[in-house]
Amino acid sequence: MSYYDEILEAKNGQVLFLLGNEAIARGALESGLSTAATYPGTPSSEVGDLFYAVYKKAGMHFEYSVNEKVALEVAFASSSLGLRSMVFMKHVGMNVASDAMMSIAYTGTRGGLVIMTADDPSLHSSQNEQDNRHYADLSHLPLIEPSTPQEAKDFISEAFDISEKYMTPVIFRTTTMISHERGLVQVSPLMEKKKLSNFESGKDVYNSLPQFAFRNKKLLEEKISNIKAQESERFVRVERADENEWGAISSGAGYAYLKDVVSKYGLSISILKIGMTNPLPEKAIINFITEHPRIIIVEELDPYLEEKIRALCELRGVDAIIYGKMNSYFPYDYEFNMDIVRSGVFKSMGKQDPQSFAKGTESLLVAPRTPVLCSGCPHRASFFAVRRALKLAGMSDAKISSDIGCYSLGAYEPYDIGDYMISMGSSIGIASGIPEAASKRTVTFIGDSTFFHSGIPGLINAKLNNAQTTLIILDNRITAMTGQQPNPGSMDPDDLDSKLNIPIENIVKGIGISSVVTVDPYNLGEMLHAVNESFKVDGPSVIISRRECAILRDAKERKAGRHVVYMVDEEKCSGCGKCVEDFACPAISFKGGKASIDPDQCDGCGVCSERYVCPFQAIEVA
Amino acid sequence: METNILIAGVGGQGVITVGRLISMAGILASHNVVMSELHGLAQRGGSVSVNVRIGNVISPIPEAGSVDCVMALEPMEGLRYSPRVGKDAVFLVNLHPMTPISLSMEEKEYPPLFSVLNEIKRDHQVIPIDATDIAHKVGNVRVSNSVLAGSLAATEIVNISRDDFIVAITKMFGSKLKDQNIKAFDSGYDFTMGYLEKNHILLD
Repeated sequence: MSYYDEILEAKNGQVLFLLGNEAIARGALESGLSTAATYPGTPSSEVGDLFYAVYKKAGMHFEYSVNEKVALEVAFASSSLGLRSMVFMKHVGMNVASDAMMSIAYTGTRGGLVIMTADDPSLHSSQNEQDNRHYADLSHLPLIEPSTPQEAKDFISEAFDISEKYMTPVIFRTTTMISHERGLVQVSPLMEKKKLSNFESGKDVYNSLPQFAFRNKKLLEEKISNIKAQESERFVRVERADENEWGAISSGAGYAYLKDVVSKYGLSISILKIGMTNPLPEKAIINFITEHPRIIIVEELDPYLEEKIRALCELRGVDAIIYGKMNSYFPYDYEFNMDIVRSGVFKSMGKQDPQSFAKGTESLLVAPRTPVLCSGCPHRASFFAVRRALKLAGMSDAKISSDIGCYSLGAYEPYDIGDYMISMGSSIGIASGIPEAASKRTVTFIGDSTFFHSGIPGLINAKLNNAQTTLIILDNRITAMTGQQPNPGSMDPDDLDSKLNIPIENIVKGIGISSVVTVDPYNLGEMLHAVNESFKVDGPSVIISRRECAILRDAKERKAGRHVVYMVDEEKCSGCGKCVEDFACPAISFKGGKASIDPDQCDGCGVCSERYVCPFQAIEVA
Repeated sequence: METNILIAGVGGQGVITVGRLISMAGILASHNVVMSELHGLAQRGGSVSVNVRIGNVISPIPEAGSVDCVMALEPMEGLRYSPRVGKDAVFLVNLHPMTPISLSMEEKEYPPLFSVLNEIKRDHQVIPIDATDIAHKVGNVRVSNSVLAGSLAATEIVNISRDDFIVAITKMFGSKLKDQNIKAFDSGYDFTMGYLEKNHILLD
């Protein structure tokens, strides 16, 4: 039985060692989930990995939608007909989905609808660290935050119940630490799925025409105030210390660090743990503050709780001394850890920080090791060819607009690909707006999945503006960065020619762009030729650089028992260093003045053996 | 009482898998275990680390200075963490170097292995082991991390029996890989027992 099957089939009471995201997926299955939709994004992706592996067995609908907004629309439609539904995404995916979410908040839902957002403090794999708790205020929707994998599973069931009871979507917010922490989780039985049932109250229920929305706004306010009265306080836990002087209020990951610091240093601090951060459990907060005159607030990112608690104290005339971010006891930026929380707590209490450990200085022998494109990655070949073509055409200063995916790593040396990289699909929109693109050629990169997600409108705009850009669609037949999920161009990684695939060529031609070629980037000569020709075109020109992801290919080759490795012929190697300087494959290093290939790291793509990379033809099959 | 293991390596080396293996063994030994994982852009080819915390703790990342053991899947990655952990931390270091692109691009070579080890030794007890070479001998370079797991078991830094590790391997790997991993684990265990005896090392 596969790992994910074991999670699906675990019996009531069984204890598993689950990733936060796996606990969330299990919790949704336990809640009788019928429909799940997502667009993959770290740190939320493993929720979908689990569903993708088990959805047939679980008798549910699961899809990798084209983007987060569509994913929410799919889940909403299913909820409107009484089925429990879920949509999940990374924090910036919520920006894409929010247009639909703001209206769905007004119309309400029927079958439980949970909208999960996984925020990424410290930007481990994101372009910003926005705090999505603010979406709860913006949309007037309830928001639940777990602190451990066990809670993640348990709270999901609660979220479905609340959603259904009040006919409103519920936002479920995690952060990287909660999503990517593994811990012991005791599972509960799987619930029966809800029956499909048509809605009753007339055809205007899910219609946001102004006159209907006008009325719905009042209903929305009623729902949230009922949830405040009846639900929010249930998610509160008070852990009392011996003395009543100090209290701490916390939620999410902040609670886990706080709890470990309080236990480790034996601090006499009572803790009010909050599970529903919108609407806030005001009664519990006021009671807690009344009992504890000094309050420390521990939360990551924005002072979301702190601002509300300070306002609440003002409103109720409660005196409290509050220590938080707003008076500089805790930082606003980045992920917390035990050290940051300990330091803030001791500072609040006016005590000397007991931690004496100070980091030493890093050895000079240690070299930076930033993430790199894998050996055999087709993007490396594309970047190499484009850089060379630009140089040959005297266009090395051309503006290059890139996008979100593994190929974002092109921004590093030696490729230097990405003067711009903003958000999903933005590469082409920017290319169509660069003023000099009216006369001077620019280059644009986007991946296959990102192109489908939100690159197509940009390309239509580029066509309308007759933008002088060469668009290179890096089609590696998979959504690689988030862990190898399928996308509309490659619906089945095991069958790359699946009839379900939507050919990118047809979309580009349909827009009216006639200059479209498809090239295998491993063939550097052909790639160089294509890029060079594209520079002569008037208006947008598209090159589809198609070659499956090296990780995907590796897995298939290994299964088939094939493993080709390249080596350097030391006699022929002149030590010119071009391969390491310009191609920069992690399998190639420099030893004794010559290039050397590590057979354990070589992927066997053979691109380095082409004369453009090695003019001395010193690299050959081992 | 808590025991904190930090696994340092290069993205793609199986940092998460070996973390899960140690965790599973810890759970079989009736401990509470939490583990941090890294996924996404931050992984391939870059410097990565995973924490395994065994004991009555909630958050998956320990306080600075409280790591008990660094398992370095690559020597320079071990050295990278040397100044970031307390002097009590014992280092298990795989001797197989992987040259970072940042060096290769400047046509620079990997620093001499003995210098890298010596710099770690300046502040820490080091147990070197050529896990990659042992894995090659077992017949599969991909089981090198089980060699290191065997080494960890031999040090008794974690309160987990050899049997619990073997059961964890059996649960985690398919039939063919299972045998190779057990062989690798045993080789790492035996090598390290021998190393500790030969060098008269007594770990707390």
